[in-house]
Amino acid sequence: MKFLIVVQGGPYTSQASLSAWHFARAVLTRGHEIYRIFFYHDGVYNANGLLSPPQDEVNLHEAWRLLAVENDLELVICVASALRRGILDQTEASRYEKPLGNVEAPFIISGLGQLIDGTINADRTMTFGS
Amino acid sequence: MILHTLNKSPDHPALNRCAGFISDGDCLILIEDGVYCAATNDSSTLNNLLLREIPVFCLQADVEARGLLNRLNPAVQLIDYEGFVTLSTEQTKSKRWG
Repeated sequence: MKFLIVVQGGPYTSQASLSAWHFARAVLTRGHEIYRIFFYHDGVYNANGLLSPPQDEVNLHEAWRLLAVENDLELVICVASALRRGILDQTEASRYEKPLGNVEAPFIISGLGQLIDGTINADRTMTFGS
Repeated sequence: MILHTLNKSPDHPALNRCAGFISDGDCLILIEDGVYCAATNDSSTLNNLLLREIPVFCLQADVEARGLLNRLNPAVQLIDYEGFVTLSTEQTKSKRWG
């Protein structure tokens, strides 16, 4: 079965992104497929590559990155949510004349169309919010 | 049939809203601070759901993290994340309350 996982909470603000990460891992452990993980609203903060939590604490950005790389997952962040929160890849940073971007692969900036596509093509949608 | 997820403690209106919406054949999983809704003697709303034979589950990791393991309504079933995934495959849709 194919899952779309929607993350609407920011790391270190609510438990939403940690819950979503545990759920995503369990989906794969149970032998199901993750069609896409979509980060929306404050969820886009998970894509911030500059997050630098203490080394003995969970690093949610790194946890998502590893999960995606090891399992070839799509991590899509909503462009409208991202830009107004200062979450930009290098292309957007250049476009808006900012000194640096903070989003790199496997996180991809895209639009709400990817959320709609996910709800159509995945068998189940599970949303985690703050 | 809908899997309802709820992540707010009973002092938040989410539980009442969910209870007014939930239908026979649906089930409810309490996660994060939502597990406080299943603490004993805490919620007549939850008891009403159980009387309606709505299956109510609690995510065990969140129960343990809040020290509630020995204080839960015995009619509530504990599950892990894999059980959560199984529930989501058994129900046709999901709805988040919070």
